Parts: sequence; structure tokens; C-alpha cells
Amino acid sequence: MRLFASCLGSSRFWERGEPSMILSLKNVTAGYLGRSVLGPIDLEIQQGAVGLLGPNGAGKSTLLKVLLGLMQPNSGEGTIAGFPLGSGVNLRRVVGYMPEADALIPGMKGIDYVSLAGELAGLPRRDASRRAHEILNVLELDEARYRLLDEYSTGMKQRIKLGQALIHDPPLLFLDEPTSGLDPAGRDAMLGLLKRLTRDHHKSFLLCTHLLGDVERTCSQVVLISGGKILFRGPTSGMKQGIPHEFEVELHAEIAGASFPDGWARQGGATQFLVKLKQDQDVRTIWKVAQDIGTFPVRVVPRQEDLRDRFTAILSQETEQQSLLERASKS
Amino acid sequence: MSDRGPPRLGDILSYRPYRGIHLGPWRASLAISRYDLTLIFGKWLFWGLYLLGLLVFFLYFFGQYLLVWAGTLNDGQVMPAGPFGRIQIKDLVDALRGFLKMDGSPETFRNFLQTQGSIVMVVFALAGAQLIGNDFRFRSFPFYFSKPIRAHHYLFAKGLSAAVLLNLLTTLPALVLFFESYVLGDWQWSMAKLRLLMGIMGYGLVLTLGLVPIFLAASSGLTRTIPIAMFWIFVFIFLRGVGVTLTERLRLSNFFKLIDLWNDLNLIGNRMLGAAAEASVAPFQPPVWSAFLTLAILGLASLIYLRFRLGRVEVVR
Repeated sequence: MRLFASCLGSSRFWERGEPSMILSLKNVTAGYLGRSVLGPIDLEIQQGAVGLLGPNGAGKSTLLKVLLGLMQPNSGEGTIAGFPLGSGVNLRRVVGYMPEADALIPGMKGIDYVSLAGELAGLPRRDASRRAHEILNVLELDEARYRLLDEYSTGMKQRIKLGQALIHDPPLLFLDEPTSGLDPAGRDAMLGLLKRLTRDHHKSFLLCTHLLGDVERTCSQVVLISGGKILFRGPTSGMKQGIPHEFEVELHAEIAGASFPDGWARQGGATQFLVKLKQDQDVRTIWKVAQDIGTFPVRVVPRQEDLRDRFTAILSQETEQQSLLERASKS
Repeated sequence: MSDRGPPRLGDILSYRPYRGIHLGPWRASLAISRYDLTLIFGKWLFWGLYLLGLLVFFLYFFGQYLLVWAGTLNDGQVMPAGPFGRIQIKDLVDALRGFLKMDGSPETFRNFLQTQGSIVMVVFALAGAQLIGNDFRFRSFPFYFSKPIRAHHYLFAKGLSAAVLLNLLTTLPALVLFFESYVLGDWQWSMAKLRLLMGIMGYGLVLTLGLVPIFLAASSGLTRTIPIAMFWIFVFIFLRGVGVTLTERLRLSNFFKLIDLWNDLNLIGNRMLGAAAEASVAPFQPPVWSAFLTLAILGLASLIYLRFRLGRVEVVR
């Protein structure tokens, strides 16, 4: 309790509105029955929205367990919202967790569910009840709060789960697949809510998802994890760097005997090309090449490029490196 | 009157930073227990069962009152008794004191607690799924364990809910009956009365400590109402029959009666109430220490099983 009080006194930076480090891990490892499945990892995350990406078995769940204080790390140290890693129950006072599973209590009303979450987090009964109403208002669960959880739609379930994670005003949220099972409209609504949380209420969150589009739309930073190790960490925009710019180009006329520079691949008809530009080239290069051979482009369409390309590229690089290492160690 | 009109709901209810106090995890246990009981008493079925318990309580309550009232009349007097015609006061007093034992003696409370215990069995059989089984079945644990509580806080909350359900039917009305017998009696406090009061509370404690761990373990393992009810029938009806057959019919060792857990609980409870209650129970009984040992082992095994079940819960999947 003393530890909790001292932590609160010294480091409620989120109340001062200063941008700061929300999470810092140094050399953290964790595992089961002596087998390490996570780390060693070093990770520092600034306040804001962070996407946590990784394939199945990457160590995301283990990382979340460590961050929630449900599992003690084997080694390493760190702080989460000012609290030392491994401070167990106290850690869960300053973080909110929205689980992927429904985790609802059948027969309970929405308002009672969120109020109970508040009391579990240590809020007195009246405060918990009042805040539950405030949160459900923000989450637009108006009259639905008095309905049984069993009658909720998937979208409402996701929102009430977010509500129970927010009730005790944690500066940091762990959101596990918050758009899982939602239709496009529901997904848009949930992502809008998450954006409002960071913009209007200065919440930080770690978004664990398989939907890269969700990360692109809500997160300013991204962490890519695989095999218990962090492969990439940085701004979401930074993850896209290094992807070659690709354009679908159609020229006005075919020029017989014309030679095209590297990166121009013919596609379908004689005047249609897929052009991959190098990092130091921009789209004007296409016009220049066309002009040099005596024609001009009639259609230049940039190919859709998203985080998925980079995600796949980084993962395949990692796999290649691992297989090379394995071969080297065998030989 | 302001031009802006009354404030809209959205203006009043907006998400704000929380600057209040944080209570400890044991207070969270009380909250879980309170919500559990709210859910259970939200069902008419349980109100019906508690009404049945109330009827038994009234039988004893007015039985004690009737005995005191009849004692003030002449033995030879005859009184009208509705559909039963006319009844001799002496017969009424004999029935209430001798046969029904509604005279505030240890046997009164033994009979009352055993009768109420049967209703507790039905309540437990039907409440197990709601109280703890559904948390396993519907994977509610990420909700609980992502908050600043541990497994033992959760377990305490569930045990407290079950204890309240049990004692509302047994110890609490028994204490009211004790108070009634004291008020209707000579108003003289004695060691015997103190012994009886402690015995009633001891009986309640035995029922609580003996039944609640087994109830929670069975409900967490079986999770649904029908299997839990079948398990309860097996333990408290089938095994009781087997125990009686082995000891009273086949005349095997009295220790075989230990498989009747309800009998074990009553044996210890009767010891708590005192010699009068203990002496009048049926023969073919095992020693009290063996009943205590049986319940202690079962209770411990139930707690170990519960800890194991909760330890396997995945908060993050």
C-alpha cells in the first residue's frame, strides 16, 4: 500500500498532461516451466496509441500477462505508468484491460457490470456507480445500460468491455482485439471511440490486433513482435518506409524497340507496366522515362500499399535470417 | 429561467478524471458478494425457497409461543382447534414439548436446523451455477482478474455469498427462535442458555465450513445446474441411503456412515448444541471425531481443487 501511495504521489504525470514515457521495459524475459517465450526485450513507449502486432505464438499474450502483473518476469525491470514491473495487484490499479473474450456475467445489467468493475478496482460504491453512468454515456449505451448483458449485440458487448476497462480512470489501457466480430459500421464506431479516448481524454493504449488497418487508423506508434522478440518499434509511418513505391502505368502508345529502365515490368497489354520506383525517385520519374522514349503516360495509379506489406516483409526477413542461422549452426 | 434551458444529460454525465480514494481488495470481495446475492434474489425461484424456509420458521416460532400460552391454562381444559375439533390442553402441551420438541431446548434447535438444512441443500443445488459455475462456463475471469484482486479475494467473495445464503436459512432464524424462547421464558440468564446460544452459532459455523467449500468446488467443476443438482442428490440422498443400509441393515462398521456427509455435519452440530441433542440421535453413529476428520479432509480437498481450477484460468488468451 505504501508502495502504491508513493508511486501515485511521484508519478501521476498523466494528470499533468505532460507527454512522457508510459511504458519502459529493460531486458525483460518471461516464460513457463523454465522455457523462455518472451525476450529479452527492451521497449520504451511514449504516451499515445500504440499498436502491438505479431503472428500467433509471437509472445503477445505473455507480454500482456507480464504488463498486467499476472505473471512475474524471469528477469529484467521496467515501469508501467510509473509503477515498477511486477508490482502485481497495484499495477492493475493504473491499467485497464479489455479482454478479447466476452468475459461478461450472465444475468447482470450493463450498468451493474461497469459499477462492479469500478468497485473491483477499489472505487467506493457511490463513485463507481456515478462513473459507470458517465462512461456508459460516453460510450453511447444510453437505455441499453439497463438491459441484461445476455441481450447485448456484439458491438454493445465490445463497448461495455471498454467501459469496464475505463471505469477507474487508468492512464494506460490494454485492448485485446477490440474490433473482433464487429461489422464495418461497428468497427468504424469502435475505432472512432478509441481515437476520442486519446484525443479528448489523453488515454494511452496498447492495441493488440491482427487487423493492421485498425493500427493504421488509430495508432501513432507500432510494435511488431515475433518469436518473443521485438522486430520493429517506431512510428506507424516509419514502418511503411522502405516499401518501394509502385504504380500501375499505361502509356499512350507502344514505342517499338524502346528500352525501359530497371523496375519497369510489362503487364498484360504492350502499353501497360508495373513500375517500382527506388527510394530516391518520385512519380515525376515516370513522365521523364516516357518522354525519353517519345510518348507520355495516360494513366498512373499508385498501388495500394499498407502496413500489411511491411509486416509481411519484416516477418519474412526474420524467418530467412533464422533459417540461415540454423543452417550455419548445423554446418 | 435561463435561455439555455435545462442541462442535457450529456452535459452532466461526462467522463472525468477520478481523484477519489482507492479501497483495498477485500472491499472488492464484498462488492462481488453483494452483486452475487442481488443476482440470486433477482430470481423468483429463490424467493419461493426462502418462503418455504420462512414457513418452517413460523411453525417453530408459533409452536414455542403456543406452548407457553397453553402452559398458562388448566391441564383439564378443552379448547376449540378449528378443523381438528376440540383438543385437550394437556395433549397439546405433550405434543409440543414431547413429540415436536418446540420448547426452546437443544433438541428444538437441532430439529429446526436439520429441517432448514434440507432447504439449504435445494438452494445450493440451484444456486451453484449462478454463483460460480457461470464464471467458468462463460469465461468471466478476465473481468475479475484484470482488476486489482487475486484468486483468494474472489474465492472469499463466493464463499461469503454461499455462507449468507446458508445462514439466512439456518443460523439467523435459529437465533431469533432462541431470543423468542428467552423472552417467553423466565428472563433468567444462565450458563445453560449461554451454552445453547454458543451451540446454535457453532452449528451454523459447522454447516458453513462443512458445506461451502464442497459446494463451491462441485459448482466450479460441474458449472451447470442439472449436473450440480445431480451431484447434490448423489451426495446427500444416495450416499445417505447407502450409509444407512451398510450400518443399520447389514450391521457393518459404524464408520461406513461417514459417507453420509449430512449425518457427519449433524453429528458435529449436535455435539455443539450439547448432550441433550446428542443423546437423542439414532444409534449406529460413528464417533464425532471421525465425522470431523472426514469433513476437514473433504473441505481441504475442495479448497485445493478450487485453487487448482482458478490457477488454470486464462485471463489473457
